[in-house]
Amino acid sequence: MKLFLSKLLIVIIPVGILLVTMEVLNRRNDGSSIYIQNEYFLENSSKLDGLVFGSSYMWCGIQPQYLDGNVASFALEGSALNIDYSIFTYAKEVSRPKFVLLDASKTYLINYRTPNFIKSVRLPYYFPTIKASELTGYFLTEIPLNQYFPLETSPNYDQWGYQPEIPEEWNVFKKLDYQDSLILNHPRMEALYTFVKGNIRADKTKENLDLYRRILKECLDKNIRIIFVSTPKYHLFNRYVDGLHLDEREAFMEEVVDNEHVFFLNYDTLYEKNSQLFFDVNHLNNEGSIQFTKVLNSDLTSILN
Amino acid sequence: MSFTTLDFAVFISIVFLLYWFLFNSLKRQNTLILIASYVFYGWWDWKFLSLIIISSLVDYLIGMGLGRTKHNLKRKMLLYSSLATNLGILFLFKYFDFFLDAFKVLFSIQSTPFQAIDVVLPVGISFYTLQTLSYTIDVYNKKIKPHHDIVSFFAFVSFFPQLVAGPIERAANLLPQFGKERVFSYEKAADGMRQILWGLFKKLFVANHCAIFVTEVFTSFGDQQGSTLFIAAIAFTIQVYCDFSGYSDMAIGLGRILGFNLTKNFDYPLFSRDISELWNKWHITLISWFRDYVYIPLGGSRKGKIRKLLHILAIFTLSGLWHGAHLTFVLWGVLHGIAFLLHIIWRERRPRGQVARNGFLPSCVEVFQMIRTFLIFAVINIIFRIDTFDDGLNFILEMFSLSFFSVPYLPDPALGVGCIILFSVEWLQRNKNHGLEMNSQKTKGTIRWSIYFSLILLILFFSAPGSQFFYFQF
Repeated sequence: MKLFLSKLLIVIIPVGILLVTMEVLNRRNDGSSIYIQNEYFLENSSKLDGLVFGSSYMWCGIQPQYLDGNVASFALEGSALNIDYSIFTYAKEVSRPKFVLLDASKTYLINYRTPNFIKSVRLPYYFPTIKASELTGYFLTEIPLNQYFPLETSPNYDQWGYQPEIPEEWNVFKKLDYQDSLILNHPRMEALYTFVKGNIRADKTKENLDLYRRILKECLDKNIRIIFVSTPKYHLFNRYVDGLHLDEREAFMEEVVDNEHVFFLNYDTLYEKNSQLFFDVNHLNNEGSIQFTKVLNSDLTSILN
Repeated sequence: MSFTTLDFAVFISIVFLLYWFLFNSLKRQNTLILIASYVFYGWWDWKFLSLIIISSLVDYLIGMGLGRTKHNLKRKMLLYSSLATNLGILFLFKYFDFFLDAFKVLFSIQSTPFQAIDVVLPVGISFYTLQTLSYTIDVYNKKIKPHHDIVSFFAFVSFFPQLVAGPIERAANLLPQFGKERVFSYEKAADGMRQILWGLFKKLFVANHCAIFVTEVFTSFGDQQGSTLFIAAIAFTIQVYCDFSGYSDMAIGLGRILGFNLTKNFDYPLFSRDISELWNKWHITLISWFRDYVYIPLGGSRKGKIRKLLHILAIFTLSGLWHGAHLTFVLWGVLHGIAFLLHIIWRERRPRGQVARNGFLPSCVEVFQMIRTFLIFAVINIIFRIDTFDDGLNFILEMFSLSFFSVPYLPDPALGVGCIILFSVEWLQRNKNHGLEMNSQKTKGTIRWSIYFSLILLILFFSAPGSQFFYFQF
C-alpha cells in the first residue's frame, strides 16, 4: 500500500501543482470585460455618479468616458435582467450613485440567462450576490489547458471595460460595405431574427418586468434616479422588431415614468438610416458609440439638473 | 457524479482511504461500498435512489423465496413477480411514452385514457435492471444459490464503478466477490490505475474530440459534402467506442483498486474481421446477457435454421430497444441484426484466433476484412446518432453521392493524433486485457512513467472540453 500511495503521489503532486498554478494565473489574467469593469467600479466606488446596466446594446453603445461625472458600466455582452439585477444588488451596497442607466431595448426584455452563461462570464467570482452554487464548477481552470496559452490579459478594453476595436468577425456592416441589400440577405440576419423570435416567451417577459419594478423600487428607496435607455438600432432591426409587436415596454414606461425620478430615453430610431455608425443591425460601432454617448450626455445633463 | 469530474476524484480518494484503512473488515467494506454507491448515484438525483432500493429489495426477497420453496408454480410466480417489478419500472420510466405514442400512431387516435408521463430517465436504469434480473433468473434456474447477506446483495446491485453504464455483471461473477476477504494487492491496484488512465485518454481525448466534429457535421449534414459525412460517420463509431469502452476501462480499473474483478466489456472490437466477431467483442456483457436470458430460452439454434435466424433478429431488435425508446434505436438494432444474418447465411470461412496471430502485422486479407467490417458497422451506426429515419436515409444517400469524391472538411488535427495513438496502442496490446496492461518486471520504469506522463499531459493540455458519457442516456 505504501508503495502504491507513494507512486500515486508522484503523479498527483505535479498535476496538482500544475492545476493550482494555472488557477492562480487564470484569476490574475482574467481578460473579461466584467473583470475590468469591476476593477474600475471598486477603485471609484466612493465617488461614482452613475452606473450603467444592460446587455451588449448598452456595452457597445455607451462609453462612460464621454459622460460628465464619474460613471461605471456593468453593461455586459449577452446579459439579461436576471443577471443585471444581481449585479445591481451588489453595486448599490458598495456605492452611492446618483443615477442608474438601465437597458430598455425592446428585445432586452425577452432575454434570460442560465447558469451556463453565469459560469462562462465568471460572475460569481466578482459579485457575491450571484450565487456560486449557480456555477457548474468551482474553478476557472478547466482542461484542456492549452486554451489558456499564450497567457495574455485582454483585448484592448479601456479602463471602463469598453472595447473600442472590435474583432473583425463582428463587423458585419464593414464586411458588407454598409449596403442594405447585402445586409438584408446576410445569413446572420436570418440567424438573429430566428434567435429573437425563438426567445419570445410571455413568462420571461413578465419576470423581466417584475425585475424592472424591483430595481425601480430599490432605486427610489435609495433616492437614486433611474433612466431607462434604449440605444440606437438600425432600421432593418427596428422594422423587424416592430413586426413582433413587443408592446410590453411601452405599457410599462407609461406606468412608471414620472420625468422626475424615472425617465425613459428612447433612441431606437436616432441613427436608424446611418449604417456607418453600426457594426451590425443592433450595435453601434466605436464612432456611433462616441456620437451617441455625447447626445446621451447632453440629455442627461438637462434631466439631472 | 461522473468519473471525469473533480467531484469524483475527491469522492474516490475518500472512499479508497476509508475502504483500505478504516473499514478493513469484509462487512464494513461492503457497508462502505453500499453507502458510497448510494452517494455516487444520489449525486445525480437522490429521488431515483428509491428505484434501486425497490429493485434490490424485491429481488433479494424473491431470491430468498425461491430458495425456500420447491413448488414449481410458486417458483414461477416469484420469478414473474421479479420480472414484472423490474421490467415494469423500466417500462414506466423508459418506454411508456414511446409505446403510448406508437399506439396513437398505429390506431390513428388523438387521445387515450393515459397521459404521457414525460419523466426524466433515471441514470443507469437499463444497466442495473438487467443485472438484478440476472440474479433472480439464475436463482430460479438453480445456477446460483440465493444470497442471504442483504448488505452485500444491495451493494452488488448498486456497485458504483459499474452502476450507471456497466459492465453488466452477473450475480455468479460479482456476488461471490462480496463474500470473499479482499486484500490489497499492489499489482492489481497499479494495473487498475493504468486501465483508468487509458479509459480517461479514450474518453477525454479521443471521444470528446470526435464528439465536437460529429456534432458539428451531424447537425448540419444537409450542408456537408459526402466525403465529410463519411469521415463523420467513422468518427462517430470511434467516438462511441472510446466513450463507452473508456467508461468500461475506468469501471474495471476502479473495481480492481477496490479488490474486485469485473467482466471485460470490449475486446478490441474495431479489429474484428467479420460482423460475428465484432459482436463477440463489442459490449460483451450486454450481448451475452441477451444470449443467455433471451436467445437460449427462446430455443437458440436448437429449433432449426429459420427459427435460429429469427431468434438472432429478435435479440438485435431487443438490444436496439434497450438502448432507447426511439424508432431509430430499434431500426439500428434491426439493421445490425440483418447484417449479422447475412453474414451467417453467406458465411465465409470464419477467422480463427486473434487477428495477425502469426506476426506483428495483419495479412492483406485481414486488413480488407477489418476495414469492411468497420465500414459496415460505421454506416449502420449513423442511424444511432441521427434523429429520424428520413434523416438517416438522406445522410447515407448524400454520403455516397458524387460529393463523396470532393475535398472533405477535416476535424481538428488533435483527433487524428488521438486516433493514431488509439489504434497503435490497441493494436500492440490486442492480446492483453486493456491498452495499458504491462508487466512491471519486463517494462522498464522509465518507459512506463514516460507513457503515464505523456498520456496525462496529452489529456491535461489537449483533450477536448467534455461532453457527458454517451451511454448515460440509456
